Amino acid sequence: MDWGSIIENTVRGLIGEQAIYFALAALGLNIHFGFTGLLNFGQAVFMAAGAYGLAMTVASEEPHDLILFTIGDGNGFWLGIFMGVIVFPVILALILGIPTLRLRADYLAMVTIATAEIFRLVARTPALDDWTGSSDGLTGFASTFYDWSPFEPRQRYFFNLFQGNQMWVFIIGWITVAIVAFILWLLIRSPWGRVLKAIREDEDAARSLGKNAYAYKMQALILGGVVGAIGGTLRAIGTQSAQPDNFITDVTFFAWVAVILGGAGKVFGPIIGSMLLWATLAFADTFLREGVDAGWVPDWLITGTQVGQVRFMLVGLGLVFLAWRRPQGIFGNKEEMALDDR
Amino acid sequence: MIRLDRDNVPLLFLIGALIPTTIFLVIQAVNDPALFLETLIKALGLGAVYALIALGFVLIFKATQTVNFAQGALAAAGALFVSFLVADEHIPFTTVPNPLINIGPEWLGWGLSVLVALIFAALLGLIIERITIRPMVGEPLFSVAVITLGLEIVLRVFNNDTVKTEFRALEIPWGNGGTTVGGAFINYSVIAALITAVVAFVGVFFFYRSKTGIAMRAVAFDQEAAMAQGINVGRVFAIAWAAGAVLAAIGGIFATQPPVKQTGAVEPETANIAFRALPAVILGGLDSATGALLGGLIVGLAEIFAGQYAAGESDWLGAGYPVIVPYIVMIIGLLVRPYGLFGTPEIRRV
Repeated sequence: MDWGSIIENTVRGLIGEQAIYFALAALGLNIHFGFTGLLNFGQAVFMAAGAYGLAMTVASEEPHDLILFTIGDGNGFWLGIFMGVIVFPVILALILGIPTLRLRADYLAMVTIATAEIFRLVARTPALDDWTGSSDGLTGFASTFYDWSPFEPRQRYFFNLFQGNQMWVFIIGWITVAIVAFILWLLIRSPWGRVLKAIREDEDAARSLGKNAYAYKMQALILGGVVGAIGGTLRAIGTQSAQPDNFITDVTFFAWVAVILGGAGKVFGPIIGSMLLWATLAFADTFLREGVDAGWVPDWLITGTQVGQVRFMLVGLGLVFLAWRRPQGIFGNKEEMALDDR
Repeated sequence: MIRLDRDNVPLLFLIGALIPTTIFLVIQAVNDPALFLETLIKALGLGAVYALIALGFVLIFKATQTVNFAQGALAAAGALFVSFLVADEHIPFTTVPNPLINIGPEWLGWGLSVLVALIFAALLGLIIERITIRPMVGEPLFSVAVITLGLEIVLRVFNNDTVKTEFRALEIPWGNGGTTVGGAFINYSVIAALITAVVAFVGVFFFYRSKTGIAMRAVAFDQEAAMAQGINVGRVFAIAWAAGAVLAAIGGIFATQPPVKQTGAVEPETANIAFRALPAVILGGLDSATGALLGGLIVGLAEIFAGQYAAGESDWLGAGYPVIVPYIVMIIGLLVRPYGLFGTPEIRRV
């Protein structure tokens, strides 16, 4: 057992890039679920909207020439960020919200999860190769971002945890998380945020007091979607690729785990939840691998190649347990989350 | 008389779009009857597969008020059980050889093995219900939904790890074969799917009129009142999950066959059939078996006909776009009739 590498990987999971991406996705989901009571089971598609908004603007074959012709080469990245963070998720939220937000909560759940899967299928379609790069996805759209990096790509920084480029994503990522969380904190304390909570608690009461619940729910869906898309954009930049299979149902599931771990209805809960989730995953991964190598885990139970899969299974079981015993999350407040079924 | 107010606008748009579509299809049918017939049968076959998956979903939702996101993983698991029994020729999870495979002619052994696989699927449904759903009675909707999502991942990890990179054959006797009727090629699998769907729906029709079925409808109507009348709610839950898992498994077997796929083997993508069938569920109404049948058929027809006849008109979308047609149908359906064609209207809130 190499405890050094176990600790190193766990710390890396705790504060690394994955924790950043999913902290943002979970912050968005927390606006949907924690504050407004919307059951969004397709946060992956909002992340995908962010990633593809950037990648398609900057790197894909079709719209590329047109965009360069219009705005010039150097501005493509900023336009891509704008498309990924604002345009794509807002359009997506409108498509998802208009037919479903007047209905019972499970309709939004099903429409969002179906959309997430269908988006993935469409993005994989070979016929759309010029737009989405089909199953290979798109690459080579993030170089502008790394050009600004003050770090040496080959050197390691921060107790040897991160390479130069990762370090740059790490710093920008946590700054983004901090800014987003601060804005959300202000919004939730504002009268607007109190209306959202009122809708979550009793929509009919909020409506009888003259609040347009449909409009507020739509605004919440859009805001949460935009925050999720920021996470997706950062993820695309961090991995330097936008690939359909990066946005499978598991992504949504992890965002839910982060929200529930940290406690729904708390502004900073999802950040903690995301960090804990990835620390646990990294720990389980390294620990099991070391265990298999050292012969502590018998071969018939888990082989080395299965470890990556098994840890996902463990997270699934862990969440089943959590949703069963403590649905308000580890740090959540039961009174805050007195949700009834709607 | 349809009055033009806010609620009716989508309906009018729908009628306005349906009239030219119908005229277009009639012209196509007159021009090339064989192609039209072939497309129609294929569409009905796909619709039958969607309807089977949707029916399992509806049974579980109606009885337990649970949105079951694990339906796709259950479908793949069911197909995997068949593969264990007929390709590896042993009982799932054991090394005991499958004695049924050598009984009688090839198709008989295969059919018996499939029945055993369906029993395994029912057991899987029962186990899932007992361990994860029963303790959640009365808990918030989202906890149960998250649990089924977690189950989906657990099952899918198991499925994918078993399938690995090679596909696992189901050795279906009729394979990708078919017959020609009036110049139209018809896959045997399409006929099989249609027959299975008819049998399943007739079965559910009579089941709803049996004593257990009435108990299930009573539980769906009001759980507490049903319990007070001495109905064993736990048993109803168990039956619903077992039936839902069996229907999912049947759907999973057909999901490897034309018109869905040509491979005749379980692969990681098999689980996607449930997500593709969700529009059928929503269109038909979450809690209606009739709705599941009609929703499945409408979505199947829309998808195949759009793929056959509209592909030439939309070059920029290309060959893969029929995949999103069910989704478009679902959105239109939600705008026109939010609670589905046969669903309970109380679902509408505002």
